[in-house]
Amino acid sequence: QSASEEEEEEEQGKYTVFGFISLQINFCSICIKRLHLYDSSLLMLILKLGYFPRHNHNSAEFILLFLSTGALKWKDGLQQKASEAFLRQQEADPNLRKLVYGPVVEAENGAGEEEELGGLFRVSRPQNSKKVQANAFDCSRFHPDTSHNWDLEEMLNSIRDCFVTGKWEEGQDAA
Amino acid sequence: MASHGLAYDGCNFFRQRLVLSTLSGKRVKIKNIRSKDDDPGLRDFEASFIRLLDKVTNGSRIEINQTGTVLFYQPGLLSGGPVEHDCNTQRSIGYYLEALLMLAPFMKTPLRATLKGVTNDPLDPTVDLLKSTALPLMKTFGIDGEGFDLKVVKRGMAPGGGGEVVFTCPVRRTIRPVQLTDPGKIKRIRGVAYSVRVSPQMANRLVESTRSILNKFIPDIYIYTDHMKGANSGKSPGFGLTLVAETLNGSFLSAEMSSTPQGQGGPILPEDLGRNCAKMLLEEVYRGGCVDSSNQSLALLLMTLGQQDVSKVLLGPLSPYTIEFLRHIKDFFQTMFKIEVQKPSEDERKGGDKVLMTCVGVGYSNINKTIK
Repeated sequence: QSASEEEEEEEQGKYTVFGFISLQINFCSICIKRLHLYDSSLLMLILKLGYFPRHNHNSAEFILLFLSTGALKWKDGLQQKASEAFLRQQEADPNLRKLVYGPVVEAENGAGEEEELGGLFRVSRPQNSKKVQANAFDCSRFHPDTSHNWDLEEMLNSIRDCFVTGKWEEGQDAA
Repeated sequence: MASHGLAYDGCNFFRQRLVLSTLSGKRVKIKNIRSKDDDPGLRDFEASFIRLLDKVTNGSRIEINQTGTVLFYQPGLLSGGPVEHDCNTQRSIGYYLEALLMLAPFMKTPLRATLKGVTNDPLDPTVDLLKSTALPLMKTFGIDGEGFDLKVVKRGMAPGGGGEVVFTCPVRRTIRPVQLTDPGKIKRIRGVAYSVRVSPQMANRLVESTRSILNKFIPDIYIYTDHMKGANSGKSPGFGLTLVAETLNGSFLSAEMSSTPQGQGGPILPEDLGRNCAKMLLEEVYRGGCVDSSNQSLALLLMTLGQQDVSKVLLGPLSPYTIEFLRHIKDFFQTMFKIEVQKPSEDERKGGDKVLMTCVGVGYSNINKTIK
């Protein structure tokens, strides 16, 4: 299988692995990118059984690594994978209070290091990262998460119980 | 001096700073407004906003330097009363109204603001959205009664404008603390499909395509079609859709989309717009909470200004605008919120993580209101 074919299949979100496992897979684009960095020679799959929102795969994440020859390699380096999953979870669940009220971390690279031309003139860059933030467009709109594809049945199912037509908790009654 | 004034850099979050400054009485200085831009200084819409602020207050001191890159604002008292303002058409009336909603309950006399300009554009929350979400939200905080209304008299699409809205709001001495921790299930979806200076059929096409998606969830959907004609239709053609999901406990989640303004980018089919808007409503439902994402900061402000009691509100993920608003509330009112993440349990299908915001009100009382 050539690389371009693999990519096409990823976009479709459908995989047929060696003809006997055929699954509808909802891919997490972030994880796929991360895994490709480890070793691009391996065909890597993240099979997420069910739907796990916001890249939160701690509870059930199955990473199956198939060699191009077809050998099952998922047992290799289990400890390392577990520790990586733990760290990823730590990153994904930040302390919101610290995030909001903590010291503002702004990328200030380029603020003091203005380029010099011939040791005499300074090149004044009109926009560096901090200034962009400070002079950005003032708007209260919260743009939707583009990774959510509302054409998929999994996404639709993830909010079913928000409606009166969904499942009700015990002790509550629709009447 | 230093303890009374606050200094900021840049023009972002311009309205937040001026509104909070007006409510807290702290003077504010904003420097480096687009100072490295090719076209430095305040834009016309910001100048228009300052003029509006000047109209609703009494005794404000506003100083702007020659290039417009430094603004000094010393707030006066909020006087209210009848106000008429031509809003600059670079931004829609929603931009101005968002700030006015925050200030209106704390005026000396009930505000009656007539705002003229662009009522609907794709950038800011439109007047229809604010009417159907912000007003019910403010009612839960005890701001209601007669004369609490937002009326679209004329509709004006971007870029031409020519719309007119009338906003009236009663004054309150104190704000009631709230406990909004359970949004309840969505019982119905309402909406407005509007069209001006295009075929009235556009609105019907919007409704049809929206229903095709939302009917999978709930049958109780009604979308009003609003086609304004003649003098009430403004200067530019366009159409759009505002959707609101109402829950059993009286919270409102909303989404909206407008057609691209004339002469700015390619055209959009009403069917596509309807479908995309329905998906945006689903996204908003996924985010969830008792307050929708565009009104988070209004809710947090009213919580802060409440009586000295605990207020709790469940929100969806905090928007970047809201996060900055929380920092500004800390600067102006020294109030910090308790922020807890609530993860939905495994077997529940109720969307993403929610955030529970808790704070004790500062016991703000309206010093402008006259005692009768």
